Amino acid sequence: MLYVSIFINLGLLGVFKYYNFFIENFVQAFSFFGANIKINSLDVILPVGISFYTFQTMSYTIDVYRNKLEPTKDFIAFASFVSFFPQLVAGPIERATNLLPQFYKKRNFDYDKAVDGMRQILWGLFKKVVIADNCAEFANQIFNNSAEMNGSTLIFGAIFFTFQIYGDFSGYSDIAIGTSRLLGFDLMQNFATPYFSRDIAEFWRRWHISLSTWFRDYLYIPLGGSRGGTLMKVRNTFIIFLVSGFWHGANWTFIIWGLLNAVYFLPLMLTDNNRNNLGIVAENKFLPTFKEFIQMGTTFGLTVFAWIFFRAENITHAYHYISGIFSKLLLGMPRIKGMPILLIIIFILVEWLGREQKYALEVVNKLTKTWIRRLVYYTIIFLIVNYWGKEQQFIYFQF
Amino acid sequence: MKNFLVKTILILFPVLIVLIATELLLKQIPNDYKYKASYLNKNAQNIEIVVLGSSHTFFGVNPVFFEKKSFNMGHVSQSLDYDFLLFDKYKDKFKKLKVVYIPISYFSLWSRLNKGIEKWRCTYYFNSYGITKNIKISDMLFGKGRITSKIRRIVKYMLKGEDDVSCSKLGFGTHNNSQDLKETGKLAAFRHTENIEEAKYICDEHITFLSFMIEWCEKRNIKVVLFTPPAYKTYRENLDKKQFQMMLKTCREIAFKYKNCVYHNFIADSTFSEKDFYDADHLNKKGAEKFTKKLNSCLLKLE
Repeated sequence: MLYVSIFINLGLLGVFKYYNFFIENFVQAFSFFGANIKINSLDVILPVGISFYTFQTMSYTIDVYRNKLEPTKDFIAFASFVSFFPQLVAGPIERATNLLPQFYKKRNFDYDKAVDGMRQILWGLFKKVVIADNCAEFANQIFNNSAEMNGSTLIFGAIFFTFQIYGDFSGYSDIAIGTSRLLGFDLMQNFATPYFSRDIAEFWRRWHISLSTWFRDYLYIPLGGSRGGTLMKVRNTFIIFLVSGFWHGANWTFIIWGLLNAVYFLPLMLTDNNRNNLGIVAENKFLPTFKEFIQMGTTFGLTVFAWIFFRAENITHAYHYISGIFSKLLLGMPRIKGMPILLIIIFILVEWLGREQKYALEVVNKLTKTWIRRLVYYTIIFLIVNYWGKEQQFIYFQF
Repeated sequence: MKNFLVKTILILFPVLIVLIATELLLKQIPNDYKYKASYLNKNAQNIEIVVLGSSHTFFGVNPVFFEKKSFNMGHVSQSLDYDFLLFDKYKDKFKKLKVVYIPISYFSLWSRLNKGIEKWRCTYYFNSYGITKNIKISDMLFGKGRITSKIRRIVKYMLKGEDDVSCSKLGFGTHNNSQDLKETGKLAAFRHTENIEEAKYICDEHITFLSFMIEWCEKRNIKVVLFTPPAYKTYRENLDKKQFQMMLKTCREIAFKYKNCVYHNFIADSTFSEKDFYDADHLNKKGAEKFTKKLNSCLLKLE
């Protein structure tokens, strides 16, 4: 039964998402050896959010198989768990063990939960429409015309994309989690200020947590995890990052992005340093130490570099983009406007202040005076209304 | 729950009030659309020549140089469907109308205002002319632009009387800045090149609109002049030949079909030099004077 379920789930995902990729590469490989074969590709629209609910359904089957969860007899609850609207299209990828039991219970309106949900929705909106959409305008312009940009502008293009994808994806997660809280449901945390990570291992514990933990529990650990010899550790690390890259889409750019992260991660794991930074940076302090600052900067730089592959149209584009950074006036004046930088600075500041919370704006809860809290909310509402960027679709809808 | 809803509404209420007040005040500021609508409402019955079209005519045809009483009904990015809607709205008021000038630029047959980056202008047609086509409720409520710049415009209008009207009394666009002809030629040609196979349905729709206007005019003995306005060589050199030939063919076929319709192609008219353009596909004030006089002489020949 488990195998049938996994086969059907992965089969659907394979057909809709990966069929054309394999066919195209298959044909190309044959043509490389001089054989021209013709196989028709599929002309179908990828169902929105297929990667998310496929993984969610698989988690149910596997958890039942592992006796972590009783099989449900309530079809309505199961259908609601699979298609729970706030997180259906872009996560967080919920576990049946967490979400399914919540459908069995009667939910009463909880004022504090609802307020918290609204606050998280507000922060999610800010991240999406102010940070992500404004950064997207510049990132798109720079990536789409990368051949004409100087090195420093290309660096800013990659940084804008770095904030675009974070604002876009974590913004969606915040809106989804906040909406669920309004309805009385608790979803798992999906992001925990990942750009303040001190190494790549920490970054992956803080970025898209629901996917990372899914891969950890259902792929990495069954493969042997970090047990066994060095070769096995290397193999498992590469498999997990390769699959993670491939999960994002049927394109070599995602695979290279995954492999690059594996290369970043491997030295930490082989030297047993991958669990050095389990807590949040500068805990109970206002500022990080100089060492922490350098560690954060380095990790951020490595992440920015990897995102270039994620954003590029294809490997050639990524190659030209990176060559452009180093060959064309790296020290020239970047051709960018100041406003998105200012918005990013405000964003980083709030994220820093709220880095110990589940979401940054939760820190407002610590303010005792109501009028100060209101002032913060109105400032964010003003920023949302005023800097509402050019409407952009959520990036992760395509996955 | 009641407490939560009341508090949420109370927090959001001032925001909504500010937004609505800003939009209402903004709508008070005169602009080209309001000005032209008001002019047409008052003077349509006396107009003998109307000029429809996009920025190519808004900046390119100055009615002062026509010998008959005329008015420029063009707006920036106005596509043929909006030409039709405007014409349809006022056609019964045009008691003395003798000639209708309709520009068919390189892109006109395949582009629609609501499909491009200027779609926000659709709201202005609703606010000023009552044209509801392509209007969403959100567009009706909130116009394009940042709230800070909207407030700045309101303050300027209220304190200094500065409005958004950028056309002359007869609807000719007066505000433009000289730009690099080489750069704008490439960019505009690229922007105006459409996938004509994909946009065939738009072309068919536009031909229907044109036919309707021409037939209506034919019954009333009104002449229709289709024309392609002048453009600088940097624009012409970057056009897609197939799209351009298709545009020419369509215009010639329409002109051939109707007795009251002629077509003139001025795109490569050698009498226009770089001094006549403010960018590669728009005439400047001097060029507009020259071009309007040319259109006027075509009219004399037609009579």
